[in-house]
Amino acid sequence: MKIKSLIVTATTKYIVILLNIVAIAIFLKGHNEPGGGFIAGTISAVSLIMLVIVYGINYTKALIKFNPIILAISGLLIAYGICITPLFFDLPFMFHTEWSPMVFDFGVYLVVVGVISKIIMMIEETK
Amino acid sequence: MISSLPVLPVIFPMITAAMILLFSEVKTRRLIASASSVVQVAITVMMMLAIQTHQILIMPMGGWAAPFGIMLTVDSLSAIMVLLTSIVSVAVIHYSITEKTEKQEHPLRLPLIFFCIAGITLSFVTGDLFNLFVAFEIMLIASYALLTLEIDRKEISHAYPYLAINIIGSALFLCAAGLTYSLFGSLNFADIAISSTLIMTDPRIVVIAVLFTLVFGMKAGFFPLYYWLPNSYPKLPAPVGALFAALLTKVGIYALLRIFGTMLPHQLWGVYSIILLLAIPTMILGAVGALERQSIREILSFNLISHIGIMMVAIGLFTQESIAALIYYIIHHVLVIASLFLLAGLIEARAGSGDLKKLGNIWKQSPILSFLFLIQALSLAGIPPLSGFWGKWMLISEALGIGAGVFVAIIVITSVLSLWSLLRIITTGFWTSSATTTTDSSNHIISKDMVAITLSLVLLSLLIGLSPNSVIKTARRTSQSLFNQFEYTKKVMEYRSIRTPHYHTPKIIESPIQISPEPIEIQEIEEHQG
Repeated sequence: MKIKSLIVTATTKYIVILLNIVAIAIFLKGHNEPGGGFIAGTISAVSLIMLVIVYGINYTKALIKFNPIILAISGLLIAYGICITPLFFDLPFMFHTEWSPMVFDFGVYLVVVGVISKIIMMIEETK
Repeated sequence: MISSLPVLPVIFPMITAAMILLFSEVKTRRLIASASSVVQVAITVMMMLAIQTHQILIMPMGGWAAPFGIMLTVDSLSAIMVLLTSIVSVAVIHYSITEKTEKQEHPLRLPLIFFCIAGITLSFVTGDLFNLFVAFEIMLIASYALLTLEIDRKEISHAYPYLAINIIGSALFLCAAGLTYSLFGSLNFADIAISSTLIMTDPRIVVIAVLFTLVFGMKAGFFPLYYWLPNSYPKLPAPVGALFAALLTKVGIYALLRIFGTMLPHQLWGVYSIILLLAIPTMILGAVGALERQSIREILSFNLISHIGIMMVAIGLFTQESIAALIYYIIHHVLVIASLFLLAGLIEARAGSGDLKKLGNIWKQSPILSFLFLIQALSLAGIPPLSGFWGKWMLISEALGIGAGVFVAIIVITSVLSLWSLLRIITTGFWTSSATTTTDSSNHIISKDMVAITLSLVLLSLLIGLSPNSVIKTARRTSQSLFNQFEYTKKVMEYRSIRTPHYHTPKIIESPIQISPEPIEIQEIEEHQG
């Protein structure tokens, strides 16, 4: 499915960039306040959905160049990794320093983006 | 190292599942799965050894203090269950690897089995109700996927009762957990144990106990709610069916033991008698249902239900000796039912069908399989030198001691009926020579590895049957530690005052909004609003 309207095709590029900037802002804000990896991931995935709706699945695939499942799994492994790292220093599981929750959140972000974009691609391809 | 033991058997299968998904080559995936399941056994054996010296292992997640932080708590019972899980899973995973050629293997089966194992293990090591719920959800979501992964489109309707009853069960579980929180203000088992001794006669405790009996009874297959089990388990591929039959129902039994043994006060005789009353129809209907069915794995599934009934009697009597009998019985039952399901899978692969009417002459075609099946069937029914006998013997002698002779009679009748149904498989399926599939069954060749894996499970269960003393001793000690609520709560509450070595101290941020000292202004604002 593609949308032919000139206004939509012209503005979507900028909206996608804006959405990802908002996602980064919310990701960073989530360290101490409402926000974080899941919400940022959802917003980034929404930007991908917009690309698919407006420019079509093939254009989007050529643009993003990554396998969404690999992205999700590497996110999962990053999240697991930061959880088990304290065990090597004889600290409890999931023990956190100032920066480690952000790494965990980044893992969550990758999982959300990967899974949602995979779902969208599957829906588009079976149409 | 020892301090990190409680979390390792949970996180390890999760990492393995992700690693398997990362690689697309089947050989690499199988290598990872096989190696990881062996390492998992090593971890759980280490945990079992650590329990001998430390009694209770506790891991405060993130370093937060008890009752509010999440405490993974491993006592003797959890360690036994986790060890059993890893033993069954190593057999199931290797069977699954050798069962299919590399092209036939569904790419999602191995990762889902690992996620399911992670959920099962988490439900054994968790020390609070909320994480028990989370563990159930991980386990159930993986099991929904496994159930429908390789099923025919025609048979997918058999998955719906399983799905429906478990979704209702999870919703009820959440309600029960909410009610518990509203009553005790905590979800930690140890913390609830302390608070519940203060309000021991409160009727709300009984309500909570009944709700949990309902929730976990659903998962275990108690009397009015077992319909989903014998219709869905035989439809699964053999290794997955073995995993489900051996462990998923036991998770329900374990959770009941944890709720009644560790969390709630020990004088809820009304609730125990409800469980005892429900045990009678569970045993009888399970055994009778097994007589009526026509395929090997359906008969085994109904036998599973009748044996759940026997376990319910052990919970319902709720004495130290009956719980010891239950723990022995769980150890026996997990090993025997897993090996029986694998054997049934092997026989089906050999003969091309599990239907008793189509089977025949198995005794001549594969004498080893038939012999192993006979041994395990006799063990399940409880014939003396085999493992099934000792658990029943402990339970029956305890029931006679208390004066619950009715249950002894019913247990004996159930055992006879289940022996009958299992021998029916052997007489009509194995010994008769008038079968239609005998001629072409030479095409179905099963690999020696599959037989070897099943054989090792059978040998393990023979071992605990022929030299039961050490296992019975462990079961008695476990039951004793389960009844010692004080020790459990004391060990967990030692973590009440841990000081977390934070890298930064939290700063006290001054509020930018200046609150006026005069109360008059506030009144003015209220007037404006009014």
